[in-house]
Amino acid sequence: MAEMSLDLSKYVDLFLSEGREHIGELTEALNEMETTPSSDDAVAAAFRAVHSIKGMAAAMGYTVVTERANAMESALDSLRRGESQVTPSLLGHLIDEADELAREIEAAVIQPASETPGESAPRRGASVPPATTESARRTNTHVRVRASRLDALMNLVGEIEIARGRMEREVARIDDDQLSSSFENASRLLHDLRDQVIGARMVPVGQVFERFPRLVRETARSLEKEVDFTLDGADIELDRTILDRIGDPVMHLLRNSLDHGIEAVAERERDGKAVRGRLTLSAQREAGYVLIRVADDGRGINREKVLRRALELDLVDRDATNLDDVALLRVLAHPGFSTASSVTDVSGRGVGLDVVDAAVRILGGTIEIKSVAGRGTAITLRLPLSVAIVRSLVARVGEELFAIPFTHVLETLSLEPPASALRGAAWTTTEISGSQVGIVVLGNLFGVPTRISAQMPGVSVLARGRRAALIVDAFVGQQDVVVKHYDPPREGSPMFSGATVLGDGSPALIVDVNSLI
Amino acid sequence: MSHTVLVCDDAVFMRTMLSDILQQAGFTIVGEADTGTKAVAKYKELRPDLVTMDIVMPDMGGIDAVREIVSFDPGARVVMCSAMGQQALVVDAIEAGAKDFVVKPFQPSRVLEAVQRVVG
Repeated sequence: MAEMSLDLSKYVDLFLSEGREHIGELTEALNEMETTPSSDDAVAAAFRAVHSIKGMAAAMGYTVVTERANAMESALDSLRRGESQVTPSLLGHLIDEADELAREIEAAVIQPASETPGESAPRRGASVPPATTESARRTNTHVRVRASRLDALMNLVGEIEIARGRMEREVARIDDDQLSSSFENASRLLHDLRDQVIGARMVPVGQVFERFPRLVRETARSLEKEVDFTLDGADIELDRTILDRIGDPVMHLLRNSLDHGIEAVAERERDGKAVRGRLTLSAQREAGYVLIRVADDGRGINREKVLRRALELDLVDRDATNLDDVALLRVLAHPGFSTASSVTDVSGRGVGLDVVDAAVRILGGTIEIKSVAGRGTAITLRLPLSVAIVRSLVARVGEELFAIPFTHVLETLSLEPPASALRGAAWTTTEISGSQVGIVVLGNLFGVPTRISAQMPGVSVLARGRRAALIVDAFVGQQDVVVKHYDPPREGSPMFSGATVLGDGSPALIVDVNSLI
Repeated sequence: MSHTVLVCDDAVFMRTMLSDILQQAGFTIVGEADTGTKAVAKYKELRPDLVTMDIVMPDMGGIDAVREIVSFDPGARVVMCSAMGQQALVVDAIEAGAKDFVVKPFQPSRVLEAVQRVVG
């Protein structure tokens, strides 16, 4: 008979979609084994799921997946035969293995059919001629790279960037046309290199978000609510480090929506709303940022109750009568506010929003909130594309240099410091074009000797929806700064999110604008 | 005259791959089943020349399905599809009336060799 070929690349999508389904069944079965350890059906279902995954992975030549599935299958098989018992530690192990397996399935499809270079997929045999493998490789040229290696590359790019800055000063000093043009050329290439390295760290948000539909479905079911969940923009890319760290906060927001936002069926019917609640998770690019939004059409946040509690805790002005979106976020994100149990009961929302806020801030992002009573709540996380490089305004305060991330900068201005600034106040207010604006005098705040003069340079910033102006001594310029790890002092508010080395080699601290306002 | 085949496997992936292999070799896929129970019902309905049968399926496993199909039609021609490490089950399947077996992952030539020998 004629030798046949089988083009495996055709089956990649099917492998992925069905593999995910089986992972879903596996997770469900493991959950059931946790609640009902004696359930033979659950063990059988888990066994079938890993067995199917093993078969598919073997057919595709994904050896890593095949081997893990095979090991899980053996463990489940001996449970199935009654040769071993379901113990919490075995179950914990299986749950971890299932997570690994899910990750490996995702990873397997973005690389050539044979996962390990130099090690051909076993047992695929001669019936798949080398030509097929070659063509699969051409259409699917991915390699797996250790994340730490990408981090090291990024770090090196940062170092080169710093060296380039130093060189720039020398080039300006020597002032030679030939040299200048060569330097410019090198700078351009370096810029491209940096973009490529940043790009290599980007992954589609779908990699983390695709587990949410099932989680939402299960949570909704356990709460006995009817919810239509939509996931938009799964292909939008984000730095892997950022994506890894926002998975849990986003899940948190989704849970909040399901738990506190979207009403029970009876309540929705009574209010004349569609019986099925709507919950949307979307990702979109906007300028240099990615916006991640969780929106529901639930009951909205009960501002009166939040306000009442905020007054009790002295978080708002004593005479405050309402909370706008900005004030609402400030209160909800106040550390500990929303985790206080009495608040959980009354506010009906915002459980652990401070935790989400903290996670987003660490990444250099901001949160926005919009809530309309009876209509729903939308929470938007505005995240930088990369954590490694932050475009910043560099300012001098006294003899020190500080970098203010552009995420927060609205404009630069010149303003007259209020009298209290002269007396050493760090936080004060002043009137700018008719409205009261908060002023932060960085020199006073950081305890850096500074001379307050009649007119001083200021930076109008926006953080957590609030505007304020930071007073500095002078602007030095704008620069892409490479964030270096920084250990904040243990006590007090962390005013800095990191440190950097500027082009001329001088160190600068990166101001955490969120914490100042 | 092309032979008719009923493909039984709980994974769409496997059914698709197997159907592709068989169709390329000129077989006609007349039906698919994703459980043992459905496999038996489809066999009775379609009377295919050949059945490919997965061993591990929900509802009713492949071996029990073979037993039922063969008791309904002693001339039924069933090829088992087993995964690596299921040799013991393959023996059970042959005893239950399966004519041959192929091991996943499928090697197209091995699959065709087995089915052609069976329908031969």
